[in-house]
Amino acid sequence: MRIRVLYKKDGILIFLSILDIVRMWERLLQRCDFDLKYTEGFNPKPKMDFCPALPVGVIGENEVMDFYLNENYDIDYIFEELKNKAKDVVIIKKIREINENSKSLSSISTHFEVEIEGENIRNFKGEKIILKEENLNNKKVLIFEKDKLSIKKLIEIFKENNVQIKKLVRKNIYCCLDGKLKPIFDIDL
Amino acid sequence: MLKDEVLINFRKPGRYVGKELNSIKKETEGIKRFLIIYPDLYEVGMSSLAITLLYHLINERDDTFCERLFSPDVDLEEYLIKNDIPLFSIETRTKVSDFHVIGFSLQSQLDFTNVLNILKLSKIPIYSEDRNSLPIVIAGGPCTLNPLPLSPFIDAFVIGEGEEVVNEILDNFTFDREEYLERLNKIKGIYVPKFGKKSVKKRVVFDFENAFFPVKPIVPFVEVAHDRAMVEIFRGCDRGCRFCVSGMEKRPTRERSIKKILSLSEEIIKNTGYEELSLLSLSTSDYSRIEELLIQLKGKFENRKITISLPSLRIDNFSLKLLDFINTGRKVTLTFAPEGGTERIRKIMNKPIKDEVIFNTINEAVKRGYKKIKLYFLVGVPLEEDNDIKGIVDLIKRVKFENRGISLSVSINPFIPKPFTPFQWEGFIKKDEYLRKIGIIKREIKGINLSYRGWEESFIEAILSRGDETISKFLYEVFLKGERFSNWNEFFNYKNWEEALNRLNLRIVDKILNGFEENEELPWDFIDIGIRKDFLLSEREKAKRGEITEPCFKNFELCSSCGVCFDLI
Repeated sequence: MRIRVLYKKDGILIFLSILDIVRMWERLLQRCDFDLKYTEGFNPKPKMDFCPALPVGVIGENEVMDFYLNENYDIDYIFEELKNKAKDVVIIKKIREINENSKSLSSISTHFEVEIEGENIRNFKGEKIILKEENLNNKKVLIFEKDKLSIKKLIEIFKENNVQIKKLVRKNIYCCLDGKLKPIFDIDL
Repeated sequence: MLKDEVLINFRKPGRYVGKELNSIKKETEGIKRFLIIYPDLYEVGMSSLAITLLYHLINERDDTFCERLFSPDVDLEEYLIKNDIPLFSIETRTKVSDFHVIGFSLQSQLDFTNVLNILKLSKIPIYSEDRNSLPIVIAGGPCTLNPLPLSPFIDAFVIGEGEEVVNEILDNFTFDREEYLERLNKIKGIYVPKFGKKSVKKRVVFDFENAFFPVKPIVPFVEVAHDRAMVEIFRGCDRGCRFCVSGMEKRPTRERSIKKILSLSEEIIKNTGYEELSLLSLSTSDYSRIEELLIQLKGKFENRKITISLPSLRIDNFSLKLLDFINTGRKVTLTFAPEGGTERIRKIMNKPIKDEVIFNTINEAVKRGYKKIKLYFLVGVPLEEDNDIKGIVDLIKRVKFENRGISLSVSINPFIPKPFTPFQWEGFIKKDEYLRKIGIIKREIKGINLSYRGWEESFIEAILSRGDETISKFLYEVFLKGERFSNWNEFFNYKNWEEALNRLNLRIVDKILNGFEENEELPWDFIDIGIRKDFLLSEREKAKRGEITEPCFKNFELCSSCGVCFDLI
């Protein structure tokens, strides 16, 4: 059984590197009363997949990860057990079962929707690589293709344009299907 | 109070923000505020069983909230100084000076500079006599067995095990600093320097079976040095190696039952999700029913991919048998500590392992697939001859010859005489002598990973281990030069220490280098750890004669009258 999780990277988690977050998930899954599927080899770890990592300091509103179970459980039970054992460490928003043979999260090409709050935000010049740019008061919402622009690079561009970033949120991770952007949580490829 | 937006800019900011799984939150109004401090980085401090144990033990009390503090890394330290921001706790970011009691856990003498630095960064007067309000500054841990080098800086020292005395410290709490110190002075196992030297008896937890053990320990987000579940299976060691302070200090030996260890382990794993369980003790193979324990643990965790690790294994085939029990296919580095290069010097140290046993054990381990072997040796042990150094060379050569293709690392440390051991009177090896002996090994040994600890930091550790009150001046002067993180090679600056040594020219340093007289009073004699001084002297004599003392294992007929069982019970 393969489970896809939608969670929030917020609070303490924004202080952590991707390695810390992976370790946090390993231990959370190991606290749950599940028959987990493990990786092969001498140093087995729970089998998991993650969507592209966020740099330290960036909030993730709708982050996605997958894990695998040897047995089939009731999906409500899995959700309750995860939330119970997560305590205050991570907010789990939704889970769903996904086809075991779906493409792995790391191999799907994705689009990011990010919201940036900061001073002089209007200084930012919409580059060609930005697919969609929406301006709010002191905020901007951008959508771009991950393979053309990383969040780290985006932060650099803002710095070059003298924008002081106050808050950076990845609001959504999409996959482009038939010319339409669909949240990666919902798709089965 | 520093905001998240500021903290996030420092290296590994997860170290300063807490909120880890199983960390404790409490209302701070109207309760006692205790701060437990490990004077090194978070990664080191959060690996310490002492910190985990005391944090959760104190937080069992409804009337007290215990928070944590570690040395800030140098980037945050610089920011705090530049912006005149006092150091703060992890849980609530409260200023250190707002706590009622702050307690340092001292596991290494080279952390002493960090103790002074933390007081400074917290804007607490460094000298005890300059303080006129709370917090009370206490210190405990193995380094306080000789409290003298730190005595002017610490209000009260805990001597021995903390589990029981920490509750007595909190039960006796009062806001009146003077009154509080007087009350502390009356508690068994506490030394308050202000009231002068008196006989202080170390604290021992007799009901170790039921003593508090944290089954819901904090699970750090940031990777720490020992990132795994820990269960202490027994405390103390009967082997009686003459160089080893832990072996004397932690007597008498007390075991937990298999039943207890199993239930503790199960709860810890359930509450943390750790994938590795480490069985802690000074000599794991000496647990009386170790095979049965491992079989049962294995049965319990078989389906859960949990690795059991056994630090501190003896060098013998029995240890290999234990490794077979827990074998997961993963071949870790096996570490053995022969300590000495010849049977002669090992008898002097009372670690009488036969050469053949060392070779057999290593050869057998390699046959089982362990390809990485690490060996520890001491240089500068009393009565050591060049032949013993050649013994180290021959031993390494033979291991290499008999096990071609393995990765062999050898680590050499200068022997540091410690208080309360049979070698407490001995001098510390001179620098040229140490380098000459290292030279013999280096010349002869090629193609292995050979590392040796610097003489300089070892000499400083030697001074801070057996120093008297005058050493506090030395420590303070070095601290004023900016010395801290002395345990870290990149920060230890011997020039700071050397200048202070030359300027102060302290008498005690000569004794530390050249040895104490048997008939003189030793600075730490007023501390009573339960081991009789005449036992230590007789052990010293036996070392000279190359005689060994058998471990007693609580067998009355093998009792060597160290005194601890009679004196403390």
